[in-house]
Amino acid sequence: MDSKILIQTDHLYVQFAIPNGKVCAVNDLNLSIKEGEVLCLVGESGCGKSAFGNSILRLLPDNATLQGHIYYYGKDIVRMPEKEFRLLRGKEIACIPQSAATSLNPLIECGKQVDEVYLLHKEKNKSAARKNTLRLFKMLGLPRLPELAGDYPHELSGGMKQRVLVAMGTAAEPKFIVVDEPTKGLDWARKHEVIERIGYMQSMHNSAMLLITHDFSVAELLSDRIAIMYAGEVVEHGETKQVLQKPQHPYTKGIISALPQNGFKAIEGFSPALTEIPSGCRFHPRCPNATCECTVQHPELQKINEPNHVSRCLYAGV
Amino acid sequence: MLEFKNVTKQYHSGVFGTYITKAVDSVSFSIDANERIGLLGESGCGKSTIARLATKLLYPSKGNIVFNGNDINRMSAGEIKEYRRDVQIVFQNPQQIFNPRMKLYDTIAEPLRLYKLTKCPKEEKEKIDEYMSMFGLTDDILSRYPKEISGGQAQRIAIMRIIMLEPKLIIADEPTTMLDVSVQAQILRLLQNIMDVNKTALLFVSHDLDVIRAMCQKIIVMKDGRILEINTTEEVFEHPKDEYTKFLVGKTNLYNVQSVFTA
Repeated sequence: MDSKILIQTDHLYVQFAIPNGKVCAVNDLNLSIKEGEVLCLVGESGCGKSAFGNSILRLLPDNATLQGHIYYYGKDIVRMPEKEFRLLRGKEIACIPQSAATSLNPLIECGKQVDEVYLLHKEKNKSAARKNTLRLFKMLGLPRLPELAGDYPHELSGGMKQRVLVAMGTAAEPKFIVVDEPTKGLDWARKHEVIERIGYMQSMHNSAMLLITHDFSVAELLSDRIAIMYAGEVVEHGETKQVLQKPQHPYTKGIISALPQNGFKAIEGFSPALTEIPSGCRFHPRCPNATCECTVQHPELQKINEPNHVSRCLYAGV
Repeated sequence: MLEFKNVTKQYHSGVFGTYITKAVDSVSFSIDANERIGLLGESGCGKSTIARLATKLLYPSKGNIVFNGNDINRMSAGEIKEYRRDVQIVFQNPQQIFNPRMKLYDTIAEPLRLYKLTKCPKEEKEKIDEYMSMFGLTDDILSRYPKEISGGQAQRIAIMRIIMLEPKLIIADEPTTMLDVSVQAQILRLLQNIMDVNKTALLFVSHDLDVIRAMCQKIIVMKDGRILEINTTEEVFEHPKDEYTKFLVGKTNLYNVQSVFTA
């Protein structure tokens, strides 16, 4: 692999200030994404997945503080002035947000909202922008073209709105896209359609992607590598096939066997609130093979025999 | 036990109610005691309308819904109270079903008080504690408000409140779509165990093929308000008859995260 590293995070911490103290949503995160690569971030709600996605886009709320570095082609985007970053956001680093129903402006026709991205980042030419929008809509398999571009968001179904958002995210042909739960709230058939189209758009533009989801089927279809997050930390990271077929961390094993097709073998207990992180290994209260050592010692990411496969468990690979 | 006979539900829209939308179009099926039926279909096909018709939250435009020989829309007030106890529904979003201004203890105790299942406050507390430990919930939750608990906990409490009334039929309207995979597994496992013990019937409404396959013995496939196919789970997945069912089932082969790992 000789492709360049596009995004790299270096000891990234994201903290949120709450009335009595601070919670750490992302803890010591070191990840890198190469050009044209799809990294999937899997984890339960509240484990810090979206906080990480938003920190790359610099869309964190005011009460959040960021420590560490995020490098985009070697440039630190954490310290970059907002003016400079605005030239990147949307053009080179784009996002496809999670709730299609609330992410579109209800007062503007959906075609116009996609045009806007092109006009802002590509060239100021309205007819070229509309042409580009219709081309994207056609690629995404939206029906009733070109009339659909003049429809307001409430006239579209959930799956169609999600595809309009995909068009918006890819209109400026960005190098890197953060896709946050693209299939949330969609039913089986729509979900399949959206995944297929996202995969198609990604391969067309050869853009790199950070895919945030809790759905393994989406991860398996689209991603090259998977990182599993638990309570603000990456607990396992490796190539998609290896992680899904030979999971090493007990938490990964747990969620894979909790899938309906594997018979609902649930992990006991709930994932901890970020205000009450347990000592030692963060997973030890729910882990079936926890020992005394697990309650005290906080494990580092450890290499397993396979290349690039790491797991945050004291007994990984044993 | 519960039978739908040619049930149609239509909505009128437009200024003079001139446009008619048929949400459910002459649907007939029946659920026997101790049977688990899955209702499968995409968004907007009328799945939830059926769930609401069966719980008397909506009235059918045509046709009858019969429960143990009684038409549910011609019942007396006393019979309705009994019926509402026997047939219970689990909704999609657990946070929304609780009264935000009531503490969870009162929310849980309300049906017990309504149906006079306990004689004194002490007995009520004992009964609630017993069920709380059965559902793996800790006591400190009882003094909280609904917004202070997680989605998984809220759905457990919603199911617990239903189970305390010992219903004959549970209607689950996409109970786990809002929840994560591991929490989904916990909730569905719990539901399965309790139904095995109490011999409760289940109508499970979902668009998730894998979940329905794991939970139900029989599947009803719906599209645009009509029933396309009613068959056993194995038949639907192995030899689907209808074209649309074939299309849906064909998609499962794309998702194959089968576990190599077995606990």
